[in-house]
Amino acid sequence: MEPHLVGVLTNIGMIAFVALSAYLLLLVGEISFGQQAFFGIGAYAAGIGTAVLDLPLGLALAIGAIAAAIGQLALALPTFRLRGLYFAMASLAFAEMMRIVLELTQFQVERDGELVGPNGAEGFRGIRYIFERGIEPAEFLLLVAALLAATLALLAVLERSRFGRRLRMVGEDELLAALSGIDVFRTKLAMAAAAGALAGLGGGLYAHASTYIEPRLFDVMLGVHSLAYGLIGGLGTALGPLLGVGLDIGLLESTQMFAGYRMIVFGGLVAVLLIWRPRGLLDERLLHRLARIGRR
Amino acid sequence: MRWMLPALLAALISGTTHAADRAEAEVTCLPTRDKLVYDCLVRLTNLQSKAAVAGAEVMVSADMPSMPMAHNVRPVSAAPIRGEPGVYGFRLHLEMQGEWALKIGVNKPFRDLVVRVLEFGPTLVQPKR
Repeated sequence: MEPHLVGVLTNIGMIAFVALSAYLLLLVGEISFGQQAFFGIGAYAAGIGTAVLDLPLGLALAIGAIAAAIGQLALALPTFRLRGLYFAMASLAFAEMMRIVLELTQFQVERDGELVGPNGAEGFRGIRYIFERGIEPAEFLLLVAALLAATLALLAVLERSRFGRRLRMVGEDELLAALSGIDVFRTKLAMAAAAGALAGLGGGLYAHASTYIEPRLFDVMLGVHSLAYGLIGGLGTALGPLLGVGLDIGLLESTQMFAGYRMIVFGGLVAVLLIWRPRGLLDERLLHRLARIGRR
Repeated sequence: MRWMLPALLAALISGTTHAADRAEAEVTCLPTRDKLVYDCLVRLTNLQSKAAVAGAEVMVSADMPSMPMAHNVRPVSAAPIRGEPGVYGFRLHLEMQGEWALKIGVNKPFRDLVVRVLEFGPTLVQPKR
């Protein structure tokens, strides 16, 4: 496979994790503009895991996911009890706060005659696990694809389960869900933890693919995009955000001849889709229709 | 494909090994007459031995830090500059001015990736990080 294509597919896979994390929150009716913060927490924690603490990649990725899940729970606990757009606003504020914390974080140790670890606004260099292990780009893509496939399979099982139906009920009408005996707060907290973990896992993978991370990478743009991917691809299935990422990155890559103007494509795509299909391409209605055709 | 999975699993569960060859990169860029086109030079040295990395296969891509993974330009290969061992030249076609993270990928004689952040202006390019 051409190296550039391997890079593009790896990027699609890594962004898909943060898009899926925003999707999980949308399922329970919460809009988050701050998933980039948990992507960043995961990236820094997993990077520290391998580069500073010499941990195996699998363990470092798990630590990144857990750290991000704890971060998301810390945001969700005080804000999920509130109604309206409080969570959306709080998520944005939290993400900006986290970015500033990362700019102030310095934790470096000497490895092979060089300082590695977070160095505030200068970033975090030397996350070289995949180079030291001789992992080829195609192998790393396989790892990303395997983790993404496992996540999608897990979400497919979850969505077909009783709990999955509860999630959609909570997302549709919290009051009605509560009257039906669903513990709305706990259901939303469970989803917040899962969303944080997914974003953290994506961040951990990104840190290792890039070898260098810095606080500026986890800017609001990434959060807005991750939210938009679900809205483009559709909220009917976990494949929706993946479709959204594929469409956006695919379009951006195939329109490189338009240089900077191609970024307008993304904004235009979101605007048109929100008018034409408010719940995205793969929305619940289309999926029901496809399921009916499948049963015939 | 059959050997890939065991290799990946081993990589996931085994600890870090150090002492692989590492590259150090110093990048300088200058604007050309064409808008948003920059001529750049990268000087590669071995981080441990400080020797120039000659005969390297170098690919350079650029990513905007504010939108990682999505806002990038196609990778270009860097050609060795005659008479200057370890120095490679490449031309970058950017989409806008501002901060760009250059990802300098070395494939030969060893594999490495070095990221350098530069501020690209109309008349000046300044190294940032």
